[in-house]
Amino acid sequence: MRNIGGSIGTSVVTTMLVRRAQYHQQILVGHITPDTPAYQSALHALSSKIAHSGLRAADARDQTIARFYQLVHQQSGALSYMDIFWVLAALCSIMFVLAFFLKKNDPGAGGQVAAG
Amino acid sequence: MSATALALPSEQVVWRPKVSPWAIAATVSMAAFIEVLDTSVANVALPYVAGGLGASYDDSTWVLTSYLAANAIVLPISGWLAALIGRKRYFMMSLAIFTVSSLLCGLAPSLPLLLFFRAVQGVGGGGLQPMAQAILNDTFPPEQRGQAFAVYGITAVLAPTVGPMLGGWITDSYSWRWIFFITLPVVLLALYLTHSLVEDPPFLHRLKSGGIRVDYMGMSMLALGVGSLQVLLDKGQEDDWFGSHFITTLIITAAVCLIALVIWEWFRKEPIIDVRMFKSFNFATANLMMFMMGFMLFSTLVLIPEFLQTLMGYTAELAGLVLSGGGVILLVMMPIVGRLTSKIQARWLIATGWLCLAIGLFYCAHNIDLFVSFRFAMWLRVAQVVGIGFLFVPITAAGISEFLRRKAIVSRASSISCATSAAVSELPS
Repeated sequence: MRNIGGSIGTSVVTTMLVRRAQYHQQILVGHITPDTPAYQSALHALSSKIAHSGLRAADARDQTIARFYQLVHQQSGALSYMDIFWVLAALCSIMFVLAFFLKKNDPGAGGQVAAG
Repeated sequence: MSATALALPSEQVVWRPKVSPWAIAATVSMAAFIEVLDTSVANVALPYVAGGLGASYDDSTWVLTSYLAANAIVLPISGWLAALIGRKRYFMMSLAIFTVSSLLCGLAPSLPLLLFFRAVQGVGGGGLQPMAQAILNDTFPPEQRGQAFAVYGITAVLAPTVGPMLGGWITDSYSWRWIFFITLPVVLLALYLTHSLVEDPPFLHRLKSGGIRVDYMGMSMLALGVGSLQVLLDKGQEDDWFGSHFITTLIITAAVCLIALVIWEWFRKEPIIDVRMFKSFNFATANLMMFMMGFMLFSTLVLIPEFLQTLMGYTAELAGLVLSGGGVILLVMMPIVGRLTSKIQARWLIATGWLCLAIGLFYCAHNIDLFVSFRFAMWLRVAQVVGIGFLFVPITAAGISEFLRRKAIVSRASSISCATSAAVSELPS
């Protein structure tokens, strides 16, 4: 049971990670369209900084966009991890409540057996 | 198997092994440790295996899948096999199969052969865990069982943590072939020690001699169902679940086989899996909790290193080190909780465990970000693991308590619900 739980758990979590990351990325990308002023000014500021270190303006701009993509990718990844930890915690809370419905056992009965 | 489900005679209660029980505990735990280690040790070596054998990375992931699938098939029927051929003999046969196939894995000249040997290795390894538990259970008197299983629990929980680190180090410094060779001295030693130390309790012989009718139908449904389940869980994400015909076929096969299996076994007089045990609320809940514990343990084991590696640029070795703090905590906690289980009611310990786990995970959800330090990540892992330390032993105690109290006659079937019942079936009632 522990092994099957482990396999299912790993499988669910890796699938969720990818799906939630895509979801968050979609939302984040919605905020950095070319017509949002904040994005424009950030883009301008960063590319001029990069251009300052010797790159041509067009290259600097490309690199800035690449960096923004990386940032979005990282942030959406981190957000998806938070989601998953939240779901796992909620599941544990349910198990916590369930524990109180267990019947009494006799601690001295010698029933301690680890399950694999 | 009703012939074997006898009311157990009282002599077994006074039976004790001739050698120190701790020597036996060390022997069987060693075997179980290697088995669990081998489920995770190859993970990091896959790119090297693929490169060395001229295969693609995708194909090489079958090295993990084939082992796990073979394992999953053998695990639930191991109790039954042991009853058939004798426990010690079965344990030694498993070890021997494991040894030979490990050697062959290390020597494998091509990927298909490696996969075949890995599957054989999984067949050998599948019997080691439940049998180790059953042997421990009969070797120790009830008062000491908590501690004995704590020792075993350490190996079962520690091995998946150590595996990737060890595997990474071996492949980086030597060759992936050595991750298979390195197990040889250990399993050979375990084989020798088992031969000279472990003995079958007298009541097992008697049970063995009872006539056994083989439930071929149940066994094939179990093998097919569990085998496909394991493969689909391993490959599902990669192949996009229902987007792939292969995965869809596996899902249908697994569902049909497993549902049919439960119905079949429910009405059968001599089941290989005693599904009727699930009528006990405590047993069913304990199984659900054991399932959830595995879910939490293994999913967080993947989450933390993956977070650190993909988003924060950690190396595999460094990410593995983050987990080490959690391993140490478990090492300390297991014996303590083992002792507590014989003093405090299991349900209070279980409630504490889930509460710790829930708090730890909520804390992670709120505090994890791209600025976490190595030290903080390590503490996050510790917070996740503390709860698990509280759960391992008490859940089993709660699961089988009802059977103990009623002195129920438990079928000598090992159930899919794990080793709980593999162990239950071996329990002197």
